[in-house]
Amino acid sequence: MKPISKPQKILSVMFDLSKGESKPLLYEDIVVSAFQRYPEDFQLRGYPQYPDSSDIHKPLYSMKQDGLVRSANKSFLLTPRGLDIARNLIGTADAQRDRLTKPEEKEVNRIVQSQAFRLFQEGQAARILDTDLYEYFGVSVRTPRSEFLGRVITVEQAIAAHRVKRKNELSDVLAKLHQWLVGRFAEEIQTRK
Amino acid sequence: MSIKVQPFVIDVAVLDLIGKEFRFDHAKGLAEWLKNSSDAYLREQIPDSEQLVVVRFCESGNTLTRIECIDFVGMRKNQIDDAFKRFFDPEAAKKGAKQAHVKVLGGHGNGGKFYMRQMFKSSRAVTYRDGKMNIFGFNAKKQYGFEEEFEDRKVPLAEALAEAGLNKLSLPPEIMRRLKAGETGFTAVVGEKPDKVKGTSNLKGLVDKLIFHPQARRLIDRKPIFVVFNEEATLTRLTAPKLEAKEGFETPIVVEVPAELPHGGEKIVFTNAKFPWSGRLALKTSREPLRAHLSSVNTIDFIGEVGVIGTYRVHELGATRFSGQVEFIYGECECPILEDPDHDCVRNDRQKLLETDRSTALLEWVREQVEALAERMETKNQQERKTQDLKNTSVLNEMLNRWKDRFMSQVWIEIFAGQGPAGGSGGEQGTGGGGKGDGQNTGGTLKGNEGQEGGSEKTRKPRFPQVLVSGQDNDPLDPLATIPFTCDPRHPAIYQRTKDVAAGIYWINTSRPLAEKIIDTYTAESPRWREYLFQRYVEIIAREAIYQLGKTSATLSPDDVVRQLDDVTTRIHDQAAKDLTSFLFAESLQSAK
Repeated sequence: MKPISKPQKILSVMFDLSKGESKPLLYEDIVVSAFQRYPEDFQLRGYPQYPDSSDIHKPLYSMKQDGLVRSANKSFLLTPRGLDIARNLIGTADAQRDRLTKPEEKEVNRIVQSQAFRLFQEGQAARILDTDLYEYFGVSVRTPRSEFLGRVITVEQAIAAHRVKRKNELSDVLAKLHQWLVGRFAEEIQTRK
Repeated sequence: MSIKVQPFVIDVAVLDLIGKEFRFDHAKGLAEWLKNSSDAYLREQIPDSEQLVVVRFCESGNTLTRIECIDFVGMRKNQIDDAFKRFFDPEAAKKGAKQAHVKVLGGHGNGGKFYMRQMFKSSRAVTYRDGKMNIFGFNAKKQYGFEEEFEDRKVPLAEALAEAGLNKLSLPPEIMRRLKAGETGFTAVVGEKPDKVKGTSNLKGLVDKLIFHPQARRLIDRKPIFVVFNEEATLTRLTAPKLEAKEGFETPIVVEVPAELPHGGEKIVFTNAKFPWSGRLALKTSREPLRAHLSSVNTIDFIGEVGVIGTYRVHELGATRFSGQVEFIYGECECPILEDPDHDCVRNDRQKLLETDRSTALLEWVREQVEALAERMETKNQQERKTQDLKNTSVLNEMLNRWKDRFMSQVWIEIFAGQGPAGGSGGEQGTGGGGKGDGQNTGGTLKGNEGQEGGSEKTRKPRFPQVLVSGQDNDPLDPLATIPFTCDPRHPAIYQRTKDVAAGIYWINTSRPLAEKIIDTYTAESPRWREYLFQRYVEIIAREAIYQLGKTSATLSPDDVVRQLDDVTTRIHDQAAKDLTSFLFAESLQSAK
């Protein structure tokens, strides 16, 4: 079996704890479960019988920036993309390499119904507003930085997946729209990086 | 067929036929004479600063009796024979030039001559060069020829000046020196008893029209062209009045002509090997509408290599929206390929372009650019009108801001104390306020002035949001802002930019259709408008409450949100019923205060 990284281990622990659903988990529960399943990786140095929460903290926030996890008030839940990756990781995904996953399909459908997509298709890209950008990424102006960046990655990966798996006219439009938006609103996006 | 080629025989009646098409007014004719004078200097390579052109008007009572155009170059007899006498010679204006490929304003060698022939009872060119005088002109029967005894006649300078009536003018010493030294000569083109033309019956009207004539305007702007009346000796410089630009549109809008433009389902190219640059359009604005005597400026001039090759009044470009704004626009378009000899778009009289696919495509594109500028001007006008309409709104907004701060400082403690991170709104890094409490810490920490904003920037912001009104308030985050910040009609009724979040600012978008309708129908002083503002405050406070709730849980259910909304809006309405009765219900603004 291919060795997995610490963040991947945390992801699989969260997947099991949440029983494959997107529901909130207490930080303490994740720390304890990760230690129980992978004591070598998550023990306190010098005290192997105790877990080290700092080994969990950093990867969790890194996963948040990648759009795999959302958090509030020290509880964490897997996003649809996080669940998707966790499923693949533990081998329960009905992985069909030529089909979009449900989260990917959902992202693409959401984009196709957005104002930005409509205006772009009608040749009125110049009328696209910042609020349309937020709708396109499925966020708002107040979405926290890490969650925003996670959404950007999620959208980019859904578009890339469409390009690989569908390879049709819509794939081109999605790619062009994304490129146009990222260029037009570079400042908006940059301020959050 | 093998023929023995004969020269064409053309009856002079063709001059009457074509002459009628020129439809001169005196401003247009004078512009032709000015161009001829300017070409005379160009042929001699005399710099603009050393040139002198004088237009002299004589009148008897209120009747214009003579018009003259005088330059200090002069013609030799061979120039009269080779150029002045010849009609329809495209090289006429270049003949006698010192430089082989001189660029001149004259086009087809007709304008000035036709003006002499068609628009005066008689006319003549009195010209002096190398000590010889020639007078060549048209008689009352529109025939032309040299005046008896003035065909290459040797005449002393003083006598020549007297014959042309120039001895009465106070000419600059340098001109007099060059005349005396025989370095130059002069030509006075004189038209006697001009035809009456509507609009130029009085001298002032004629001079105004000349100044603004598209063919003359640029010459008057750049070259020393003077005017003198009747027996006056002193020359007065003609100057084209500078038009002040419309506020906010001081800088000309310069747009490159696209390399190709669509027309009739095809793409028309505007570059080729000979003309690699497609050109540009420069649009300018005037503070005053270009009506009445300024109407001739409400044009787009098409500029050729050295002068105007076509002029269109803006309304002649085609129907445009925002007609009220179009009256303030003028400009010029350079498009070198229009003069491509293979597809020349330049007409004989240089009034309008020849109708070709290229010129039509270009005119349509220019019309679109004019319309786009007019739209921007109209938008600005609307914004200014709205600012005026909203002038009382800042007072109302100030009242609501104060009320909101009082309300939130009381209610936030009651709602959020003991529910995890409270205090100021923001993203995941928000740390102001109550913290993880036990229900007894009822907001001691909330009494601080500020909470920390989350999100991308760790900046301090007001404890409660500041609400501003678009179209009324300047952007406080732009220290250079001189005009109110405006939202797009498509922005939500409550709008925040990224930087507003960090600063705790909300904008009430007054460009939303409903907001505009209320202001248009009921005015910004009506209770309906106050009610509209109040409702936006309700939204803002509710939104803040939901964000606050979101900090306590990674998963909010619809029930969580609805409960929070019910709680907050109930409290807002109850408090408003106590505090804002007159604000919400009084008919007049004064009583609301």
